[in-house]
Amino acid sequence: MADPAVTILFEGRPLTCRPGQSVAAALWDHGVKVLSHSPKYGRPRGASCARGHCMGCLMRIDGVPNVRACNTPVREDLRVARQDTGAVYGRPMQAALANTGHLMPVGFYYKWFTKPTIVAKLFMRFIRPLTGVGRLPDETARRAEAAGHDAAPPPRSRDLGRWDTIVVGGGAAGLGAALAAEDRTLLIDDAPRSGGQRREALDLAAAGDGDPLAGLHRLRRLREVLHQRDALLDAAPHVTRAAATTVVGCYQPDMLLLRDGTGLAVARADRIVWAAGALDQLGLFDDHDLPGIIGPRALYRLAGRDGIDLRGRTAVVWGHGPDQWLSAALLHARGARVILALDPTAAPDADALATARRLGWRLLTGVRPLAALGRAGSLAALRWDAGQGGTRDETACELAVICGRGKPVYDGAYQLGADLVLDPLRGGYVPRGAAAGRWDGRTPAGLRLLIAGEAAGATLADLLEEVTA
Amino acid sequence: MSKRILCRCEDVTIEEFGKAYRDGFAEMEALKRFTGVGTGFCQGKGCLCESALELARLRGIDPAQIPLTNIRPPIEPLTFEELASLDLPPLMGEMETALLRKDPEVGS
Repeated sequence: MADPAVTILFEGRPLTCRPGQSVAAALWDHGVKVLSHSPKYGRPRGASCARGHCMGCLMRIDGVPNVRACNTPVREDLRVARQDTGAVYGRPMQAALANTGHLMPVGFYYKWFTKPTIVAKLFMRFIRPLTGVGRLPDETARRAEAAGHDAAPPPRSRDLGRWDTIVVGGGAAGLGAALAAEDRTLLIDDAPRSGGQRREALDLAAAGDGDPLAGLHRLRRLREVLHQRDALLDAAPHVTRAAATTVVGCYQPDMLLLRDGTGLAVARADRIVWAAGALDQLGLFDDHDLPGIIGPRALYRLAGRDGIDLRGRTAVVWGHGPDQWLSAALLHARGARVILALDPTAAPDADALATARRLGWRLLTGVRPLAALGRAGSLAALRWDAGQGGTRDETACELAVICGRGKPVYDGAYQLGADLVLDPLRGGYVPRGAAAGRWDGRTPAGLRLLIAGEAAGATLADLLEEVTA
Repeated sequence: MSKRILCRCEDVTIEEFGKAYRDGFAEMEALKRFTGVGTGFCQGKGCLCESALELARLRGIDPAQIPLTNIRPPIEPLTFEELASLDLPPLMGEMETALLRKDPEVGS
């Protein structure tokens, strides 16, 4: 039985939502994809990472500004509003600037009207409100009102003490490291359930009509491995799990500052495993920042836990590699019309292609996105660079999943003292000298640090090699 | 108008980044301060690698020669209310971030 629906108030309008959804997903289901606007050109922004990283979904929720709609679950009577609609000159002015901006030289806003001081002051007073973040809420009034429903208690901080091992990241690499640790281990995961970003996507795809994972043998094997490791961890007495917990900062030599639903916490360890995975990389084609263009990790969240309604929607999945195929399988399982657009480097095997044909996915080959075309602020079509001859075909779609090289999450590893180097072949900053998705050593401050999995530059394809070996 | 946005939070286009480079800002630490890449809400999660790669392309050098800019905590947005809840004095001595060592190195 489905839980009873909840109703949120979006700019005064009651919207019915499925419990467990994020605010961003609920708004998507009601056709609201533009959640905020960029500060300078007023470009539409939406839930592009859906995991609390990109900040495209900052909204005013229950009166509090700058709350991430993708990380906020819906609740009865939750008040949600775009926070840049109250800008002094409003959106029309911002839109006008966005369309006339090309007439002004690059960087005019910090080069013009800087002298004399009086002119600079007037210019600042004019240009600042254009960012449209609006006014800060009245905190006293907010608390009084929040007391009406389930007012959250003020945050408190805790000390989680010292551990033998702390593992950051509950994906395949993190689960593997926690299992291998054998000593007192704390496993930190930003998701409420560990297993990585792909676990739920794999489960949903496996249960889809027509068995979309049928020809994707290695992905099916990954699903088994994730379930296996998760079950083993459940039975492992040495591991304590901290779910729905994020790392706020790392302090040398060995301390982590964490945040969960109740507040901040500090924890220390003799050994830290940084297995925080990778972020989506959306490429740099024209207008690639339009809402409706996401990466596979965002899709796993939106079509997975958030369960946005994709029935009958047209979605392009561009790129190559296993994340592209898992994205397509998940979209298919969710009832979307899948257009599989293979980039020139894609080399799918025969079984995968047979699955695509059997399920009726439209296939484009050897294409690269050249530009995104929008309507009403969100994606309406992709324009392709089809290579030779310079043909410029367009494909209408309301969702595009760009499956580029994942970008290793480096911030915590950097703060702990790891030596990172920019390597485009591994997707970004990776530990210097990392081999086979692994860097194991000591930081200059003496901490035993292991960087593993996608955070060390491995790809899902590498991981699949490992689990099927 | 179609644009190719390098940094979404601060609305920096590829064109603006290149202009800043030609204006003489040739290091990531300087470009970060001048254009704003990496200083927005997401603190560079969406743009630092991309910007560093673009700089390597502009300078015609190996990307491995572009060091990471200093990434200070917090790497996750916090409220002042949460920060205030921290029992800071006992932690202060231990809160040595990479920046203390790195700042003189990278000239930031």
